[in-house]
Amino acid sequence: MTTYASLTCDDVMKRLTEYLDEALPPGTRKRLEQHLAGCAGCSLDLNEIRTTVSRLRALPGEKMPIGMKENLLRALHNRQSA
Amino acid sequence: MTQQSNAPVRFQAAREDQLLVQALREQDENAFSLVLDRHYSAMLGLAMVHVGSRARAEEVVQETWLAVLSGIHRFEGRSSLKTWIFRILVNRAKSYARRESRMIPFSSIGDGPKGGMATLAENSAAGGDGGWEGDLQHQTVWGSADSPEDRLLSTELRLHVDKAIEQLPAKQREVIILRDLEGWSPEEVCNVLGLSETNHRVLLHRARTKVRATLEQYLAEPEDV
Repeated sequence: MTTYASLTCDDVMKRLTEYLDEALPPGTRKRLEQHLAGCAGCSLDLNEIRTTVSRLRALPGEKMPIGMKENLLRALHNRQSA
Repeated sequence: MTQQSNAPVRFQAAREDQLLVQALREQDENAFSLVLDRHYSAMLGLAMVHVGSRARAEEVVQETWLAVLSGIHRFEGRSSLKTWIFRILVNRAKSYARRESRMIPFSSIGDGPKGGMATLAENSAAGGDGGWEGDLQHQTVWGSADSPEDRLLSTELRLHVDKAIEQLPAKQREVIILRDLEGWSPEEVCNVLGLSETNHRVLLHRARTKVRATLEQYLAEPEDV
């Protein structure tokens, strides 16, 4: 367990999600970045999580089946004529 | 991001909501079609967490939209339109799951890890409703990538991601689907799922760690094995 900038690797792992969301208070963010600059292991973890998130984000979403869309548009029209 | 820098985004989102709600109230087909396409993937994913199969999840999505059409005149704008729609979806999916669990025959109780309520993976393996046949039909529309090879890789990766996500506890599944697959903000996820920011981040961190391990394993596998 390495300690840089008064944060252990465990502390950093627990806060990586907040860091990626830009939700850390400025002081904590600075200490976490100092830790990352000196700790190859945490820096690698951060990059791998970033890569995972971007891979997930890049996956194409699902499209509504045509039949369902037709049913729903019909329901919209039925409401119009009701 | 500061609250101040969020203000124009919030204003723009609220303005867009107003226009969409107005258009839906006027039964504008183009506006309805737009919201159907925009939210389908997230709605299906979230419904599947609760009801376990694609066929049942599709039913929940359809029921949700019918409820939205019936209720749009009562929408008061206390939450965003998206939050309102997804809360209806989650409530309906939970009710559906409760209803289904009451209908499980005694003989099937204890068959699986969820007391007879098959997961998508179980259904798929068994070739049941919402299984591979149905899944593969849907997977053919996933490919927005350019070449057939890209589409194949994308579809294959999606299958692995789906399998990894299916192994997660329900709350972790909900959070990672909305945050990472659908790109929702922390605030939107917390509003729809009724979670605190801290709790949602703990769930997200755990989910990402497990999915990351599965993806790394998959991506490290040699192609010819």
